[in-house]
Amino acid sequence: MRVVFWKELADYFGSKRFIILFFLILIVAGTSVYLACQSLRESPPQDSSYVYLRLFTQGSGGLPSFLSFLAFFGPLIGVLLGFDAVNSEFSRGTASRVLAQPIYRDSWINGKFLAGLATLALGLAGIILIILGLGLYALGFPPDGGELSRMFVFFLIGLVYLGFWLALGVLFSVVFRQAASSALASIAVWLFFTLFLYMVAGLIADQVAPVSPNSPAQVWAHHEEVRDMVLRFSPVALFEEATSAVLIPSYRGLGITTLLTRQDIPTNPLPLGQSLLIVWPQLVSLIALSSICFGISYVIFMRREIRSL
Amino acid sequence: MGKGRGFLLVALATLIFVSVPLFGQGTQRGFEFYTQYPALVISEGREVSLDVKLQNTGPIPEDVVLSVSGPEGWDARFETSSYPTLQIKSVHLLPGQEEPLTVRFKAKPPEGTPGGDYAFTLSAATEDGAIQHSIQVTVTLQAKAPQEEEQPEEVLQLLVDYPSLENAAGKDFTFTIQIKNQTDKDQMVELSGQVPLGWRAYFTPRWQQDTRITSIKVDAHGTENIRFVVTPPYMVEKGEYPVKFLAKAGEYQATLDLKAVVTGTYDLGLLSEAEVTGAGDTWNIKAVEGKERHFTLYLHNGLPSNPTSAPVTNIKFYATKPEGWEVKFEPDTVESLPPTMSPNDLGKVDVIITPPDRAIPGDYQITITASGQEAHASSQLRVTVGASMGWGWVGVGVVVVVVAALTGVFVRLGRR
Repeated sequence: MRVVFWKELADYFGSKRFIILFFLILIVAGTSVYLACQSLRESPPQDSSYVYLRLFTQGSGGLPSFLSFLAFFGPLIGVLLGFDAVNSEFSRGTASRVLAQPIYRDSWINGKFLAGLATLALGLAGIILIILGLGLYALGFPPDGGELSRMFVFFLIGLVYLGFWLALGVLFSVVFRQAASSALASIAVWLFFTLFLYMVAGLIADQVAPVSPNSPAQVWAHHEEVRDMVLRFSPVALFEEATSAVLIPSYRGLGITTLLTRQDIPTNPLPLGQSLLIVWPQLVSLIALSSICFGISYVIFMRREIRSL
Repeated sequence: MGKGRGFLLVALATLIFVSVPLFGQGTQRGFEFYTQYPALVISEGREVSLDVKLQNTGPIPEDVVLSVSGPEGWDARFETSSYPTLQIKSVHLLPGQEEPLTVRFKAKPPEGTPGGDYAFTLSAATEDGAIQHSIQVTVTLQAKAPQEEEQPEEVLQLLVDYPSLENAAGKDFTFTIQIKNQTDKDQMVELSGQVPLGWRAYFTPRWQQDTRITSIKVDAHGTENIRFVVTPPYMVEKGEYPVKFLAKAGEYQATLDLKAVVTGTYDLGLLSEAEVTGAGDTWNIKAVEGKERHFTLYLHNGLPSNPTSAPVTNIKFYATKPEGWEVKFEPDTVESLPPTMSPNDLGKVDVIITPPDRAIPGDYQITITASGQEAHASSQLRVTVGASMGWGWVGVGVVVVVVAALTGVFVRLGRR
């Protein structure tokens, strides 16, 4: 398996995809830090704790923050690495040759998946470190332990999220024989989860819990709950919720109506453990989704009859 | 005109009795000549005025010549009792009149007449000299009574509603004074004031405040209001100062004692180095996070162009600052700040500003307040915090290392 892993890794890094990924990382990290610093400089917050986390969550002038950027385009990167992992080997006819070698069949697919995950981990770590470095340059003081640990947890969650999309890409590459149809299917799923589900969730919530402008807060809260419930089918929404808790220490996972009606809730930052507890369901769901995706592709691949064409 | 003002104190003088019955006029010529008050008292400077009665008791009209003899120099005469008064020498008495005719005897003592009793003999005789009557009248002249002395002296009466005013040094104290003329004549009143040395004083009419006057005409029994404006110099000590107002009408002089209570003036202000020396820090300074920044604060109490009079004492300093910032003042108390007359009088305070280690680069506002016993002042200081370069280079290093590592991985693994 190790051989496959390194071979695949070398394959990823040697490809032009990695160059694209590399420049994407630089541009995304650079612009997001620049924008965040810009808005911080305009209105320095009174409380400078967790300022580094703001570099990830602060958007500026209508441009999205790094967090929403990752939530939206991260899937593309994950899918990009995975959509032709298996079927290209079949179409090139190398699959039977590789499997003719004395390696386990599962090592092959595991190695492929892990290599993709390693590539993503490297890229994500690169982005976070560059943001950290630019933040150091712009702010002039080092992050403290709380910030570093939260950044690390953010890295892990981001990796799981990207891993899900990688697993999805691998699944489609196992299911579809053609790389193009695999890519199209992946992109369809990505669009569905990032765009359409948000519309659908709104529609469903309107149907299940209709609201009018003068409805009481409870009705709005119910509407919000239904909408959130539908949205939680999407890993994008799960990721956003989970990272919000990690990167915004005062986040308490409550809907806006709850905050409006319950003003006795304090807004001080929570310790990391408590923040994680709040979004534990989302985290578990994300990990489960990734595992299920990979599990399905694993099972399909293992049961597939492989013949040389 | 009354029937004599003096009180009748002396017993009645003898009356020449005419022995003719009251209604027996048909037989014999005759007339009566008498006065009800043959002895009277006047005060100095006044005139004797006494009603004298004449009545014809005979059957025919009589022309009666009146004459008077008395002390030298007195202007003694007879006048009609009706208005306007005319001096008379003789009267024509008709017979059968029920009411006696009244004439008035008047006598004015000459200036400087000493007090005492003066006797006058009033005589009346028919033209042919057949019948003659005379009355002795005693006039007692009294020396000037004290209450009568005052009246002519009080030519002017001065009234003021607010005789004591309080204001800061260098400011106007405005007394509004009423001048009353108590005589029958118009008076030209000269105005003057006695103020402490160095004070300014002037007068204006009440409603024309930009017209300065030194005298004012007050009509007979009239009243005029004037404003008496007194300005102590800026440097005067605080305390109570007497101010005297003098009004002079001819030889008469009236005074009015007033009081000006001068409070001190203070005007505490803050200046930056650039405002004092023309160079150095303005109210907009730069600082580096975690590093001490010294800012020199200058204090002034008034300015030469707007001087103050009293020192501001016990000045303490406070700063409103963003969270985590440290602002210290060296010294933290200024005991006394005298009025600023020259740049040497400025108070100098070293403000030590330390932004927190984790200050986000950007602009911060610090409000510095100097609060003395008498006055306070505050000013806003804008501090632009820059990132410290030490960590900046570390950041650049991190970025370079990451980029190098990614490139290295790419190059190493990219070759197969």
